[in-house]
Amino acid sequence: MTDLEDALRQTLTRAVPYAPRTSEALVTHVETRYRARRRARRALAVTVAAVVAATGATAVVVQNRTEPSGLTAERGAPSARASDHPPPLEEVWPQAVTRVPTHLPDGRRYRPVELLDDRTMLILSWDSDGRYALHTYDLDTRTARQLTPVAGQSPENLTTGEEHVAWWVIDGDRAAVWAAPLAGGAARKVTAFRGVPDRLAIARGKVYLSVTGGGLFAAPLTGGAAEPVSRAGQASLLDYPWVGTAARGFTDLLNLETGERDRAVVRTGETDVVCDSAYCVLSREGRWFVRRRDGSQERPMNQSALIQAPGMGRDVPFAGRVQVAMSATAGYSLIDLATGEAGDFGIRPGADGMLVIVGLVASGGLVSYELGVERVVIDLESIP
Amino acid sequence: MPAEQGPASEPPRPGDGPNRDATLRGPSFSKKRWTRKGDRGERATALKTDPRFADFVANRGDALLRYAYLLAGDPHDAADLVQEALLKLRTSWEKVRMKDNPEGYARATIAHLHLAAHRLRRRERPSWDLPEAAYHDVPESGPDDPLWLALADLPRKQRAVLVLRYYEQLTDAEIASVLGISRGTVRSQASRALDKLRSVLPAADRSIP
Repeated sequence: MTDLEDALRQTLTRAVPYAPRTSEALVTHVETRYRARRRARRALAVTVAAVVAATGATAVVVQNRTEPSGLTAERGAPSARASDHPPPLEEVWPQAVTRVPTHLPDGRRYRPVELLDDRTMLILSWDSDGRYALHTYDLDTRTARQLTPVAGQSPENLTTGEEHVAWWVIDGDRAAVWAAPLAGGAARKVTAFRGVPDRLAIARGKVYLSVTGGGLFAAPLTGGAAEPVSRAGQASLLDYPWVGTAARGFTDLLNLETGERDRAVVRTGETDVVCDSAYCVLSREGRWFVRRRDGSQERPMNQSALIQAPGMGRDVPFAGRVQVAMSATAGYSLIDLATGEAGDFGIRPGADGMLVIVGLVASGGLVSYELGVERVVIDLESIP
Repeated sequence: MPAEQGPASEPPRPGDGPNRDATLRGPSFSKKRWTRKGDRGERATALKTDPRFADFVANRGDALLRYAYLLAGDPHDAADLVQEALLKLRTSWEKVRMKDNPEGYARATIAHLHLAAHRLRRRERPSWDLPEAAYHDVPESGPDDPLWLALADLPRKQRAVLVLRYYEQLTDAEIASVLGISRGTVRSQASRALDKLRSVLPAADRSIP
């Protein structure tokens, strides 16, 4: 398997949570269309038979049987019962939920990157020509302040640290790493790199980047060549200063600054263990659990979870505590595994019985998605 | 594997369980049909159907949607593909069920519908049409990832071969069977697709500049 093939497999796996989901209404919708189509075919058969008879041929009368009325719809299927949905997010965590428009005042689309403080988001916007820019967005005034335009194609792995934001873009046959001050000001190229980065971090005046398949490099935030971090070996960046082997689920970690090693507790019979720097997800006897790396505070996970935080490092804070879940009867919801509380996203099946979540972001201290003309932003730090 | 995602006998697929080694980042969007799926709050209606068909949809519907989404790259196209495939499956349910492989039938139907839709669209386009003005169509939903964006530029057959090989983990012979093409075509389509992806991505030889 080449690096490209590895990266392709990872990309396809990453895309899976963005797929639409079924609701209980889907079967009904398919059945309705199936019967309508069958009725239409039978009606056509009657017409053909009549034409044949009219032309003098021996005809067999085909009766156009309509569907028995006993197959009329039963109202109030399980998917529609209000009781299947948890209370709305705003009722459960009113202090954590903000709704803002899906477009900036100048019409640009955007997605959240990170909550910089409880009322300010870092966002990435783009226009119809594919020009990207970074802004801060005030959740109270619903206004954006541009930090810097972003050169090139879609910026990847947007990461903050030391009052800067860093990202990488494709630049010819290289990955170019850029950084810009969060206070505003021009972006500058930090380094160019032959390889596909999979994680970035800013720490101690450097931009750290690990590449697909393993291997860690560092370049000065002020600009310069990327040098290999030899003590990391072929490990991948998890959450600076922690590095580990992605293929082994980050069960064994090395602290680059102190040399400390941390081995997650894995017991006999436990499989598919994937950890971040705080929590692990694992499978045991066909069920999924989440617990701290030391084996404590184990909780069963929602079986139909859309997003499980561990294994994603800083991308989903509150790792192991909050998860976005989805079920055919209750739709999408946010669940606090610590308390069992859940808040409904308000997404309902379309006429085709499919549940589609649009614009989901689960990173940088927030969970966010679009609902009609509004974007719902949930500040995870505000969930008590 | 979560119980809702299929019978225990099926081997895990990437993404079926918790998102191992997956980094979820923000999806991007376009104006394309974003209003189509909204909070319509419809009350569902229930028709009696063959309970085995209902069970199949309940147990395998999400897996089919994931498959269709990776093929099409768009959630709405994926929903359309699965709905059409389930409609065909419902029509042939008794026959397909007797052969005990409704999922294989549904997956093959999704792939064929996807490729056929492409052919139809090409036929519909008059040859004297001027090329459309370039428009940066950021995918409405999906990983914000250069490979994902590059996949969108591949011909459908090439993308289908990659999805079947690297997500479904099928052999070339199995891919040939699903898509109704020869093994040689599978290999050539995969090779061309990987070449294209290489050409738009940073070289992955990890040498330091």
